[in-house]
Amino acid sequence: MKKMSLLIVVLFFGLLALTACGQAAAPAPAEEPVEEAPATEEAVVEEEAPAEEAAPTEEAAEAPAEDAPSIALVLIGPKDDHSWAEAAYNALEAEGADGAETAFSESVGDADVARVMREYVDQGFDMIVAHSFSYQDAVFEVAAENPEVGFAWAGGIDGTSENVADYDQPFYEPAYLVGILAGYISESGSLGALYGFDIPACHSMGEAMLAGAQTVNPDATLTVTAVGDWGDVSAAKEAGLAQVDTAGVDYWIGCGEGPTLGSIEAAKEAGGYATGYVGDMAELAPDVVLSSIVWDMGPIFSTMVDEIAGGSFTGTFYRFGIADGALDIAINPALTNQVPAEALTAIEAAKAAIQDGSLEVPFVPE
Amino acid sequence: MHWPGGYGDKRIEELSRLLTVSFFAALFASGIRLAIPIFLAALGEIVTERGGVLNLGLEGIMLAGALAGFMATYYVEQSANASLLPLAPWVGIAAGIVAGMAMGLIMAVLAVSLHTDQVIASITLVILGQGITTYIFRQQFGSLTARITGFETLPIPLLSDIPFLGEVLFSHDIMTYLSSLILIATAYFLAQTTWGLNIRAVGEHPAAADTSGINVTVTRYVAVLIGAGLAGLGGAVLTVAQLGIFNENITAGRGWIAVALVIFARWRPGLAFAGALLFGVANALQFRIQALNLEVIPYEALLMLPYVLTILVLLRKVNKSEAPAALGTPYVKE
Repeated sequence: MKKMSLLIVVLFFGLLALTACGQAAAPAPAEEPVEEAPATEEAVVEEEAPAEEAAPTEEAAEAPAEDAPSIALVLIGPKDDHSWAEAAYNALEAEGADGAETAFSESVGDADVARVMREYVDQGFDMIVAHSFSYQDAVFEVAAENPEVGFAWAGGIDGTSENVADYDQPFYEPAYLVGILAGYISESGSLGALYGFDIPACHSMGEAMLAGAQTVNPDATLTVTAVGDWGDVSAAKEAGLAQVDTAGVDYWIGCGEGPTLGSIEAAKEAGGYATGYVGDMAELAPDVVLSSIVWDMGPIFSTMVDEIAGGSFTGTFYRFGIADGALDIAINPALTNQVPAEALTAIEAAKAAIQDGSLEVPFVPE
Repeated sequence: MHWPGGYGDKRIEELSRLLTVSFFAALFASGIRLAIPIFLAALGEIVTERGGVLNLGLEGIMLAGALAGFMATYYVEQSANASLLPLAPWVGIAAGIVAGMAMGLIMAVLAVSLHTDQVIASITLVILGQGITTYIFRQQFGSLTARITGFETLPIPLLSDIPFLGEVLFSHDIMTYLSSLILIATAYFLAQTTWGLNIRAVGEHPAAADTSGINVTVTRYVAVLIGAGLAGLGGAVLTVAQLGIFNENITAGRGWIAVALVIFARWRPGLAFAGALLFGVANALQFRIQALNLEVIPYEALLMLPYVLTILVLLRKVNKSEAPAALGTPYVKE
């Protein structure tokens, strides 16, 4: 009986160890990325000359531009999240299609990211993109150890060093365009914003949406709720319904995954429209996601790759917004019949004004 | 009504316009929705702890129930057979209970049969629940597009027409109504049935219970399985009855709140129900205060409100005799 008990304990903890590795603090398969990285790499390497892959990184940096540098991407969530992580993954895929050697790791927790990046360094990658604000400490630590490798992280705060670039995420710019749409669509003129917490990145989105809506409907108002959690869909939904009861909100913008999914559920239940967050979410709820904020990280990635290839990478702060084609609004094709033509014209006009510099979307961080 | 700091008449006027019967009806209805999953998990934990086993793993168990409920409902709804459709959410609820009990079985084997430290065993259950649900969800669905219809809101005829009370009490999904029956049944089970008595006996004094012919091991297994089944049900209610979607860590800490609630409710089903309701209504209230745009209280303080209020109301000096005497202690036959 004793032996039997022991066996069960061993089996259980074996199982536990497997699953524990599969999730970590964030839902992070810590084991998966490591295995995945070489697999993806090999798959791409096969198409290229093997000699190139072995080339030391320093030579690669000096090599002519047509030898595309190799890029590794580290993601905080699953690559197909219809949002943040997927935006970076798509840009990586695009570079891969252009002939660059690529690799990625999904759902890497903050505690694991330094190890994952060091492994990419050991594999000889020229460029490592750490796509989360929370990777800050790790990316500067690993970058300091490896001055020959180029790094980038999703700081959005102009936090750079000699070999660490930062890239901005001005989601408030397309939120302004969403606001114009909401100004035409919202019957009550009462807009709702749901944030995980009231941080500058979120706050500026809500305020820009209001500013956009007021260009159409000067009486438009904004009701803001901080849900207190970035992932709690149920609480976010109830927060959205509370906005309906108290302020008659019928058009939402969400900041963060839980708040956005919650706003979609609230819009379904109470009637109204929601906005996809940093990815086209029309697929999730075709009847209520009228538009989405979409992020094309292609311009950021290709600029970095060009700089690495040309040897001019110095760790700058990339600011790519609507004017650079990095951010945009995507209107749900299933609902275009709900959108008046003048709304589309106004959105296009605002976009053009942002592009030619005559309009600057107000940034209200708090 | 006097507001500190001297607010303009206009604001008070605006407030009094908002604070109508329908405002409060919606507030309490929302509070009940927020309370039910937490209440079910807390109720289960009361049964488990009354049996002398401390199971802190509710968060993991609820997640397992939430995913199992979602998946079972999804697959039945997707099957072409239209006659099965009304059954789909019921299959989901059953799957949630079974998944919860499966997690409970692991806990029972570790805690009751193997006498492992119950705190450590149950915390591994949380990690297991988070890992395994994330893994299976991504294997099976990959992204967030999967949705289920689940239970629709089922207003009770006539009763739901009563002003105020109709909206508060009789305009919910069927699982909310059933939860009140589950409360009564569980309270009766613990207080009045032989099994309930046995569970309380092994939680107070397992050696004495053993001497009087109660099988301590079997009784504690039953207590853990009932508790985990109810926690699994709580998770399934969240996905099948309330949201219609699953997402990684969808329970977002509800299991931990349920554990705390059990202690504050002093292991009494009725008090746990009241505590969960208070927590839910306070949460619904703070969302409404935020939405009123008063800008009087920082939102961080409002987010604390449900926690602070629940603790304050349920806080009392706990008599030593109120906690099951053998709670957390494995029973080893002399």
